[in-house]
Amino acid sequence: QTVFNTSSWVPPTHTISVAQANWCSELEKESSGRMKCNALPKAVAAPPGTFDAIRDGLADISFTVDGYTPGRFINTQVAEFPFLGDSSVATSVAYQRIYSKYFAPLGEHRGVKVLGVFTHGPGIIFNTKKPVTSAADAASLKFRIGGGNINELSKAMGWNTTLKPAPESFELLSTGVMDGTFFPDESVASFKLSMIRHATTFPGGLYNTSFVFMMNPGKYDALSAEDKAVVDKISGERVARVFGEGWDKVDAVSRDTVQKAQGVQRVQASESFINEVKAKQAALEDRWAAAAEAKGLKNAKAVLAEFRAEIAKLK
Amino acid sequence: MIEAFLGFLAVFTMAFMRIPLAVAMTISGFVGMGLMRGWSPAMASTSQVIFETGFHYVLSVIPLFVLMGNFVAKAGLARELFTAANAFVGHRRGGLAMASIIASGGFGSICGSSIATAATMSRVAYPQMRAHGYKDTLATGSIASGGTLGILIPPSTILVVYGIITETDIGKLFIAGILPGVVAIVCLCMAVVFVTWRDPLAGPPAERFNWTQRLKAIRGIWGVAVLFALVIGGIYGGVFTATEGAGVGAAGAFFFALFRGALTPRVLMDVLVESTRTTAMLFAILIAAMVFTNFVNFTTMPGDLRDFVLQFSPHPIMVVVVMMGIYLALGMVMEELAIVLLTIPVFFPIITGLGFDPVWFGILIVTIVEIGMISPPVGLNLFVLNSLLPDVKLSAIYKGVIPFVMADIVRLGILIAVPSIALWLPSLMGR
Amino acid sequence: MQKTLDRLLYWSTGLMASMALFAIMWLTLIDVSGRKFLSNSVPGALEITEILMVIVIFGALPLVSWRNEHVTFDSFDAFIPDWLKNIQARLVDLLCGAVFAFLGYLMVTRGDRFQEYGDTTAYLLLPVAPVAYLMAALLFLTAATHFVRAFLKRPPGHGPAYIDGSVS
Ligand code: NA
Ligand code: NA
Repeated sequence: QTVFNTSSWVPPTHTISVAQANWCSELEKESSGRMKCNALPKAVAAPPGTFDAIRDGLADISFTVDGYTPGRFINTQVAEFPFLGDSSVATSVAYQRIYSKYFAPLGEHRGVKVLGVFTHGPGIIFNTKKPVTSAADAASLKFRIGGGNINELSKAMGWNTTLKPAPESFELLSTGVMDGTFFPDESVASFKLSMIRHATTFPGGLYNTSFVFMMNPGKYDALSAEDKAVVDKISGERVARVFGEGWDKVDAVSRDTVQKAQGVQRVQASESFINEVKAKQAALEDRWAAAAEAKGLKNAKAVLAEFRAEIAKLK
Repeated sequence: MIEAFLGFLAVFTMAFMRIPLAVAMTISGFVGMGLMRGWSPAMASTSQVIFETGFHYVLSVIPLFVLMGNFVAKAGLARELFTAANAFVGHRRGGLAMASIIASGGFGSICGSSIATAATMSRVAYPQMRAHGYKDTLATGSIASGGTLGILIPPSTILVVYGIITETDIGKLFIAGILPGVVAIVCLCMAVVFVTWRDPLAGPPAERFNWTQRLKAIRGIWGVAVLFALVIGGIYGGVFTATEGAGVGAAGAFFFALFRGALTPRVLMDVLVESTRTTAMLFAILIAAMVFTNFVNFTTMPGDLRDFVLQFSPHPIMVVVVMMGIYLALGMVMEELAIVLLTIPVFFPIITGLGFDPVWFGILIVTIVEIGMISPPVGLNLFVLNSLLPDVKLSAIYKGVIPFVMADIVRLGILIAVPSIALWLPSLMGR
Repeated sequence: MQKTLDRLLYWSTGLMASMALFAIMWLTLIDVSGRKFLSNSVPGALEITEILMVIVIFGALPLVSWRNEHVTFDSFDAFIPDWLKNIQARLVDLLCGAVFAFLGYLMVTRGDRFQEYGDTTAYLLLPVAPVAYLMAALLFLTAATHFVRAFLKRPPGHGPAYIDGSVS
């Protein structure tokens, strides 16, 4: 019997941990109990170190955010762009397809066995102060943000943002140090951001995040051919679906119960607001295409277009 | 469980061979990890822990609170606190020890670190107690235990760490620490009363102050009040986070020391270097504790502890009591931050699942850490005193601290029995 | 010679560490005031703080090791004869030197890894590898102080470590 040690840097109740556990029970079932997981009580590394932790075999299976190690992954930044989609399943599955077709051969994730990639739900502007419907409204508030494309985008928009780790959101918002944060719906519930009053949504989200679900390659290579086939069978799109469905579910719960209960007012960004973001994002996409092509991706713009078309097809 | 036990045993054996604790924990954790997971994962894990702990924004509270404490000490605020407390209780039996505890509480309100508080008070209070014929056991016991008030009374490094890993409101945690801090001062003073009742020669009375002198002494502590208001008010009022509060507090203390003329360039340099040395010493232990923790993470110990605790879930309060028992036992043999890092991910979900308040549990955890820091044989505050007072034997420090450990355990019982001591003030915040 | 070495460490890595700590203090103050009064915080303050933290911790480490300030048990001291204590102290220094040198080597491998992937910080896009190499260099220096101590007639900080004690 093979036991995989799984590590998770979010609490065991968080949807990613749950999805990881669900994937593990699928693994156990499909292999008739020959393979199973052992969830470690504490993460083996902080989020940025998780990729290396899997590569080096500290744990056998885990997930990470590609943007947590800036400079390392370029192709995967497409999954951080605005206006991708409103459902995590659709963007995740589409992303997985594009990933297998174009990104995987380029080997940015070399050193680990990629089981699948996925994204979260649409990124939203949350704040404690006032309804934000225009870029000017947003410019009058102080926001906590994470890294990645949204960091570049908000710089370009001239917003007053500060890069802080997600778990600090509660403290920053509850004390009023910051007025808001950019998050998917789920995080308002999971980080207990009960002080949030306003949400500004964008069709397809203002930003997203690229996640990778991975296994230690040595552990994979040591499996029997039969077991390898089981792992392969539930890799790729299966992973994208398990994590994406889980995310959509908690997004909905947060939106429909938690946020309703605390009285969060949802507004949609105005047409002009959206166009302004689009204009600034266009430059970032050019920059990304150049960087990705330098890393060996052919026809980056076409890949991006195919990614968008694939998402549209799925929803 | 057996692997973890052997790991502890190895740390102890090496530590008793006079190998520095940090090195002993690193070796034991590394070898344990290597045997359980292979040598190359062990090497990767160790280097990752070193990098992540060193390159860590939130942990900047530690050097900054230490720096703040050292500036405050140079500004003479600790002496003024001690003089003020002494003016009221010094003439009693054991009065200087009580004054030291009360002054530690006051100093704790502007210093986030237990070690810095103990170190500072030992410089101020120990010479006075010695001059008045106090026994070393009572003198060091009161200073070591009083020092732990530094992490209970806000600001507090441990509460910041707890708040971060459990995502609990740090502002609420800070406010929650105030009343338990007062209870702690009372309990520790009762321990002094008990010790001097058993042995009147341990702490003979000092001179009595008249009311004019007392009023004069109490006026001297306005500086402490200003700094406390700056740091806690700033965190409370949403001007800065608790992490940033440490930097602002250090800067405030710097200006205080500067305006009091206590800082020449040379003194400034000494304060800074001293703070970095304390920081390096603490981080050496912290990193080693994390290396060791990563090893224990792969043993069955956390799971065994959880299963053991969960047996008691039909009686939720028993779960808490059993957990505290485990912590007391671990606290004797382990470095406290390591305990918190290792057990909170396992215990915290159980506690909140049973419907207990995370702020209240945070205060219990700090209390446990406080006890751990003074419970022999592995107690950081005891080591600090031992190194600051070379002519006091470690065995005397061990012996002297026992009544105070007992008083702390009584206090822990009170906090478990009456949660509102911790929760009343935060409930007024109405967030 | 010992005094010279102490001075050297104090005024090189010690100075570096203390200036880094002082800088974190000012950086936080400026960042907070900027955000409060000018609605603008210092760009990348978090990352600069993290790099400075590395300098504070690892910069002060050689001095701590040189002065024998690591937390150490001494409960059994009374039972050990002086000649044995002397040998024991040297053996412990050799062991510490070996451990710190090994940790330094580990940080070189970590730096190589960062180099391989081209890791940077999130906002200022500063390369991370040099930070790991800096840790390694300072750990090697720490190891060296232990090795020197092992061969000194009377190494500094004999007996229990002193945490206080100003220099010179
Ligand atoms: Na404090
Ligand atoms: Na202890």
